[in-house]
Amino acid sequence: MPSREMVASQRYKTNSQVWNAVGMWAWMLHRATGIGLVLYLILHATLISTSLISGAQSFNATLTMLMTNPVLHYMELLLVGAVIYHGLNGVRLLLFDIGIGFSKQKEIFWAAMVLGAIMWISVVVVKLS
Amino acid sequence: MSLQEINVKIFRYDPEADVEPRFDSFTVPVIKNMAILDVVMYVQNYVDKTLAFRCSCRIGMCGSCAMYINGRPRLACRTQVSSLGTPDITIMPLPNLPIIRDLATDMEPFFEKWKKIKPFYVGKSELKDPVAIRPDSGEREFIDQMLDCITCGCCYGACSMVATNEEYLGPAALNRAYTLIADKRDAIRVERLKAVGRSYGVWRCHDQFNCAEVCPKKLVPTKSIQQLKKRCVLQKFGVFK
Repeated sequence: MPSREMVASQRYKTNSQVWNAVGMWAWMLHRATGIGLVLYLILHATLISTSLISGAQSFNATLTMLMTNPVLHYMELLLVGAVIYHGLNGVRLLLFDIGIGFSKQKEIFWAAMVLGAIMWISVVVVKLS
Repeated sequence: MSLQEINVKIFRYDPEADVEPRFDSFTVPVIKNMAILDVVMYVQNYVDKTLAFRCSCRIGMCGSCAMYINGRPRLACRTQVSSLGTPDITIMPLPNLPIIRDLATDMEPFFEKWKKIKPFYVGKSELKDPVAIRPDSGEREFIDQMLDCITCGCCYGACSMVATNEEYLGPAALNRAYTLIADKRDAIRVERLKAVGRSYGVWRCHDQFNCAEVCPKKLVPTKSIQQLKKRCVLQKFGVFK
């Protein structure tokens, strides 16, 4: 049972974090994109499994319906962004796991973001052309 | 930037008397080289004698005066008012710890975790003191840096992993564990490693770097924790003895 003193301290938890630090946001975005990608994979597996459950015709019809929907069509760009961010920040975290870059974690983050932005913009250009 | 006076908002809470915490506002005249500790001392001396906070050495050695100042845990004595770049200052107690009163927090959970890693050196029985470690051997290079910890609790207050799980040992205790485990003369290295190599030990760290961001001694506990993770894996494979 938490003490009353602790409860008072807990109540201010949301405004008692380090919100103006690169590492904090890198971590938050990593979590958010991670959850997003898991949800996408579940949807993806469900969609693919319709081909087994209800046959080729039904699968084609579902896929056509989804991919001709303009909102879903452009949401793919969001998906690509999430994959790029999660992947590149994942590499940053792997570097730490092998003992590289602790004193340069912010620089590594921004370098990864520049690289990610170039990759994402290239995908956008290809998709819109 | 030169300021004439600053507006200070201070967190007030007496668990024995108040139902809810509140913020009190004060206007404090600025003196040259004024630190946040001078600000709270001014308030206590001249405005409101009931303000509670903790301090001791006033030169960043004792680690008593850590507070949550304008969005991050800092040592009040080592934080210059001018360095904050604003006349509006909010001071709260160190997060993730129970509040005794106002800005004074109870460090007991922090030191309970500190105790769990057995924070003292245990020499191997076959070693005869003094054991010489040559300065140029490089063995103590990283250990010596990490020994600068003053247990102020800034990292503990900044860590989201501590905030979301009260069992997590926290950056300071793990950093201390590393300085002992990495010492070849230590007799209970494996025992210590088993204490930290759990899900609420080193594996709870998510490389967020908030600890390194706020450490007044510029330590990087994330690096110590990574070194511990490495040793935990090596120990599982029987390489670390």
